[in-house]
Order: sequence, then structure tokens, then C-alpha cells
Amino acid sequence: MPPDLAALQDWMQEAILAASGADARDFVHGDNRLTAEDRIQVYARGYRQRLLECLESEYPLLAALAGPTAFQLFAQGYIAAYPSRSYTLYDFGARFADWLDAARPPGSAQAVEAIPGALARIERTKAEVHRAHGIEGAAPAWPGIDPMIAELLAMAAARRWYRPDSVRLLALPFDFSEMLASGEPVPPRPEPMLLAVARANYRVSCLPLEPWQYDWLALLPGDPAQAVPADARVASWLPFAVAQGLAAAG
Amino acid sequence: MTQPRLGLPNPGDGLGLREEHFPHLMSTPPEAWGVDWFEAITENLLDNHGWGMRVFEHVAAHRPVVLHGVSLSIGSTAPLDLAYLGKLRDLAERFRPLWVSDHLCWTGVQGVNSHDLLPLPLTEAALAHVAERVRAVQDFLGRPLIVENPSTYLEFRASQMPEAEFLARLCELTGCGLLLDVNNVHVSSFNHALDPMAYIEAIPASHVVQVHLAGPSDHGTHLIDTHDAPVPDAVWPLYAQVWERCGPVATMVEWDASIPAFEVVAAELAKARRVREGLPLAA
Repeated sequence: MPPDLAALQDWMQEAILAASGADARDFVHGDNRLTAEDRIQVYARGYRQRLLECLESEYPLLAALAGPTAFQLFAQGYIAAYPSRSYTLYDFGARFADWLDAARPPGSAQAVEAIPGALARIERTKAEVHRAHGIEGAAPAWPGIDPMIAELLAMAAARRWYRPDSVRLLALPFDFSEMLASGEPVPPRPEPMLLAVARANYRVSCLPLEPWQYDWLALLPGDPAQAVPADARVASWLPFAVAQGLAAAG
Repeated sequence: MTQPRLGLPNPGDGLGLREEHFPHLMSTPPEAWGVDWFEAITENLLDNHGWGMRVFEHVAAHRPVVLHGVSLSIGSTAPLDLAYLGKLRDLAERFRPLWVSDHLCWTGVQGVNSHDLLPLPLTEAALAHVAERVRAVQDFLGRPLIVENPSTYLEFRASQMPEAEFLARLCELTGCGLLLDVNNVHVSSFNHALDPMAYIEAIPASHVVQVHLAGPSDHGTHLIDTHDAPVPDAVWPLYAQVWERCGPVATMVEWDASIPAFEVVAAELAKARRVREGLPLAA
């Protein structure tokens, strides 16, 4: 690799990440419209704006709940702490919830400062489920039979069940039910909540769970080859679970 | 002598595949789309097993597609990302796009991705470096790489040649194709007080396999390539010049922010047809 090119790229990347035009005149032309420093700042601003918009897009409820000023502070801190290291912007927000949790003041799990991290975890999970391997298009267990009838047959035949990759389970310190149902930034209640994020027919849903539902889903393997028979307690809930994409017959 | 478009087809007038238009594309018969082909952003499809991939499968079953990347980082001094290239090759083998394109730029070094199309110093050393990497990518993918001219907001003191000459020599050295973004010619020429028509005249016509059209944002002192507006009036004469030199060639409108309804973007594409026919922009 040409050493001059490597040094120039090291310098320019550092200038963009630090939003600093120092030494810009040594490397970059300026003119009477834009100085060399101004021209570096075009890239530095674009870099931050692009990543901010990425986070706003992935975390719309958090952005709405926190408001633009607080959300931009969150985003700026995260952008500085975790520059993207992936070929895809989809990966950029993966650690946002962890960063929010680590950056908050010490306090209980249900302190108000813990809300952003918990909410970010839900929104990131939704993004993951959107792109995960789903069960849409999977070969039917009984080809040619109406899917609803096939599900009933599966239950009657004590089929073995597994949890598709497009299902994630969350144990949260807050109850976000009202926010998730309305899509509005309603503050959560400081009560534990068990939640499944699942996809059916390419639609992603957030589904509050009872403890026994959560436990049963948590025990299900992700591999159909390792699938287990349904617990008798969940039989009456299975039609709903299958319809929501929470479980599938192996 | 090189065949026109490197011997690649001219599929006609295309649009970028954007999420905002998924409902329209999935609820409208393909014959009513009014679009000859589609360009998908490569990175939106990699590792994607959801709705975006399902829509792409549907579109690719009914229209020719091309893959347009933003993270190849062909000009970076960091090693080529072989994991990325492997996924790109798998995607290309699965969908058989007409071609695979990316930008003359670098996106980061030391493992960082700025997700921006950063400019290169236009030097002999940079040309040799990029040519070596283009050849490596072409060998890996088993097909010519189509390289797009970027919008730039700065020029390096170290540069030794105009961008059009850099691209022409890159084509000669590697046999790569060009995706000539006419809006980017307009943006960079404005930002650096250069002559856009001279740029287009210096491009090797037979290597141009695709044209991009888009709308930038005007910041007074400079233009930024935001793809959030109609194609500006200043770009259409440049497109007419490109068509005269390089046509017929696949033409596509990009609209990536403040995206309007599908019909509005398709109407922008229809303007390109009117320009080619020498008609006024407004029907």
C-alpha cells in the first residue's frame, strides 16, 4: 500500500471522527467559498448526521420519549464510544442499549434513568427480528392442507415444537405495554414485564407474556431437530402462539 | 476496441429499490410498475432474511436487477474485507444481477466504517493501489466491477490528475466499467469550480454501463449529494451530453431521503426519456 495514501487516510479519518480541521491546510485545498477546515467539517457533520439518523430510525420510541435534545446527547456519546466497524449500518446500533445502561447513573433496575436502556433493548430486538430467519415460506408439515387445520393437526398429533430464530424473549424491569400498544411515548410502569418479539407473515409484534408462557418458550430449542413435545398446560395457548410465530412444529 | 457498455446490456430506465415503495411494489402488478429494472443497495440485502429480502426476490423475479454497494471501500489502504466480498459473491450468484457496482472512494481504515464515500487523492500511487484492488475484486467476483464517480467536497493538494482522467486510466488498467453519476459530476464540479462538460468529455464512453440521476441539496457555498430532491435543471443538459456520448445506456433515478410516492420518482425518470427525445421537461 502506498505509505502516503495510508497516512493521508489515517489523518482524514481522525479529523472526521474528532470533527477537527487541524492541519487541514497541509492536505486540502481551500478557496474563497470554503476553507480547507470547512471542507473537512462537511464530512465530519455528514458522518455524525448519518449515524444520528440511523439511531433515530432504529429507536423511534426512545427518540420520542427522550425528546430531541436528550436523544442527541445519547447518540453523540454512543457515536464517540462505538464508531461503526461493520460493512452495514444495521449493525451500528447493536450495542446502544448496553451503552445506555452503562452510561446511566447508579441506581435500582427500576430507576427512571434505566428506562432508556430497557426501551432501546426492545427496539433493537424488533430490528433484529425484522431481519432474522423466519418461518415464512417454510414447507408445511401437511402439504395441501389449510394452514389452520394443519396447526390443529399438529397439536392433536403431539408434534414437537421449536422456537424460530425470528423470536426473541425479553425480561424487562418496566412494563411498556401501553407504549407498545399505542405506539406513543407513554412512560412505562415500574413493574417487571416478560415480552416476546416475534414475526409472522413478515409482521413483527411485541407480545406480553405470562411467566408460564415465557418459561415454556425459553425452554424450546431453536433447532427443529431438537424439538420437544408441547407441555399439556400450553395446549390451549398454542393456536395463538403459532399464529404469532412464537413457536413452530418441527 | 472495447464494445459499448463493455458488452453489457442496456435494460432501459430503472429506479432504486427503496423500503418506502415496498407496499406499492407488492400490491401492484409488475406490468404496471412502469420501470424496466431496479437497483438494490447491496448492504440492505446482506444478512437480511426478512421482508426486504422477500420484496427483492419478488422484484428480481419480474425485472432485471443490479447490486449497488456502498461499503466495498475500494480505495482504502485497509485490507479488502473478504467476508463482505464472500457474501456479495453469494448474493450475486443467487440473483444473477446484470452487474455489481460500488464507488471510487474509501469508507474507513483501522476497522472503522464512516459509512461515507470519502475522496481519494488522485495520484499515480493511488491509481496503482485502486487498480490492484479492482483487479482482485473482479477476480473474486468473476465479473467486471462497475465503479461510480463520487460527489466530493474537498480536493487534496497531493492530487496529480483530474478525476475523469483517473477513472479513464482505471478502466484502461483493469477493464472495469463505469457508473457515471451525472448529479455527482454536477456536485463535484460546482464544489471545486470545474467544468462538468469537460469532465464528461474525458470519460471513456465505451466503459459507461449505467447512469445515475439525483437531486442534491444547495448549501450556498457548496452542494451536498443528498438524493432528497428532484433532479436539478443544471443536470439535465449534462445528461443529454452523456447520452450523446455514451448512449443508449441504463439510466436510473436515485431518491434516498424525503422519499416521495413511487409515482413521483417514476415521473422523474420519465423526464430522462423526454430529455433524450429532445422534448421539454414538463409533459
